[in-house]
Amino acid sequence: MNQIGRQTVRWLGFGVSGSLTKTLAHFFPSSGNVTAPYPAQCKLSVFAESIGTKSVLLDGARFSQPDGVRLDVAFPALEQEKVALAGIIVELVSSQPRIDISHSACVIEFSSKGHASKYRPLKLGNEPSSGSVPAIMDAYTVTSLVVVNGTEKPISVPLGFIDWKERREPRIISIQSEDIPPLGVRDIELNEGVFADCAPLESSHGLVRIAPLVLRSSLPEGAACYVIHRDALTRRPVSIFSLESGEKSEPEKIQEEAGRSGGL
Amino acid sequence: MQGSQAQTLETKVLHLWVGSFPFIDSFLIISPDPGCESPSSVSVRCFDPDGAFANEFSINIEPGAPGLIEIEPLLGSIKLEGGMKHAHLEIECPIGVQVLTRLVSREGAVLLGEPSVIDEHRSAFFPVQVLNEHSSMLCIVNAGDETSNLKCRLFLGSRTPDISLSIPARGSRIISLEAEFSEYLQAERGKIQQVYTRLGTRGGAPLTVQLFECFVGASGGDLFSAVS
Repeated sequence: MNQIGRQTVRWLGFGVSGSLTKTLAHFFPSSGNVTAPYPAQCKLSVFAESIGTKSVLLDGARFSQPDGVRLDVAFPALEQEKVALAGIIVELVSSQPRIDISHSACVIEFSSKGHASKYRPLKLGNEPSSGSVPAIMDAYTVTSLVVVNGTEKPISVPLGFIDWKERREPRIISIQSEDIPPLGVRDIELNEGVFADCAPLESSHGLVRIAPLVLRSSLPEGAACYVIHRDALTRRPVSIFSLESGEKSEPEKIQEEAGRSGGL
Repeated sequence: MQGSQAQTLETKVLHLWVGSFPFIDSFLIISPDPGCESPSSVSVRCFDPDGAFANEFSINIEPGAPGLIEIEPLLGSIKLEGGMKHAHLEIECPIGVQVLTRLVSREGAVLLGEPSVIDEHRSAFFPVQVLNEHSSMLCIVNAGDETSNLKCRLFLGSRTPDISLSIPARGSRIISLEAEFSEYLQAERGKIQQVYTRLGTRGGAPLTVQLFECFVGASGGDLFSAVS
């Protein structure tokens, strides 16, 4: 998964498959200021331990025109093999040699009866973004994690949370989890111990416990970790964020530069 | 969120949309920089939907300590626009600090990440499913000091209607897709209609945008979903 250039962009995410929830992959080939509808190629891949990696090439993608596909339609094997969680790789390739496609975008959607949730999957090849993502526990929200290993080797997940009980001396406490096998995708429940030492914060909607999650070291290229905030009652995902570790991402650099110049 | 001597760190500026009365309450969740061992400062300036300065405040956060700030008391007497009290928050914070918006209703809550940025080089897209008892809002913020003209195009099969909207400097707007494109978006019971929106601007200040969707929950309240 290393060949990332201006003519190719790739995202790594995950999808769920089942009778109640369908996953859709939406993509938007874009070159920024070029509005001509040049053709683009979209290669969609899914992977899981039980099915290996499967790919399809989607016809008809064009610059500046959003499009999408249902995963169960593109990959009937997901339902036949009863794959509950699968990794997804969306790859867009520009057939125009001088056109930069790096402004393209991708959204993964989970659609169920009467509800839909969406997230932007991790863009591969970008500098990872540093920082923490809050795990939340209150009357509305519970938090879990999904780890996606699209590599050919098992990975351990360097998960931790910032313990701020000792004020002025924050420590990162490791969260133990099993190794993720090659092509494995795992849903990891956060046990209540993570929140045990979090002082509850008061709000008009009740007490909220927040544990800032971090990766103690970077995951290998081709692996990703997502923080899932779920509705406490229905367990439906309502917001999903990728957890990264390392240097600043390109969007952060852009915002930072624009911020200095008085814009963004 | 106490502390006295905030360390001077490399900062970033965020432009977030927050909503309030009558549907939701907004909170800021501040997630700390894991590598920072000294207090850091987060400053917030609040602008009403027409871009008029409304309020400002700053807080020092302890290293490692998350923060939760309720926005409604800080919006003061900001007027309603589009049937809703909403505002633009300009937030300056250290680069490693994450500031996210949490929207809460009687029946659910959702966290919004950093918004998508639109300028003359970048456009944004959002997939939307049109179904009964559902509403979709695009929450737009003008990050700059000049008016910006937004073009929102709907992709519905072979039809591509569009609308244009002027976003005042530092201001914010909400676009209800069902209202703006009512001629095209007619939800039929039991049927789901897949559409896309593409947002761009020609010149003017950069904009930030988020999609906020509202579904009817099991007991009749609002359930949310959002993507940036």
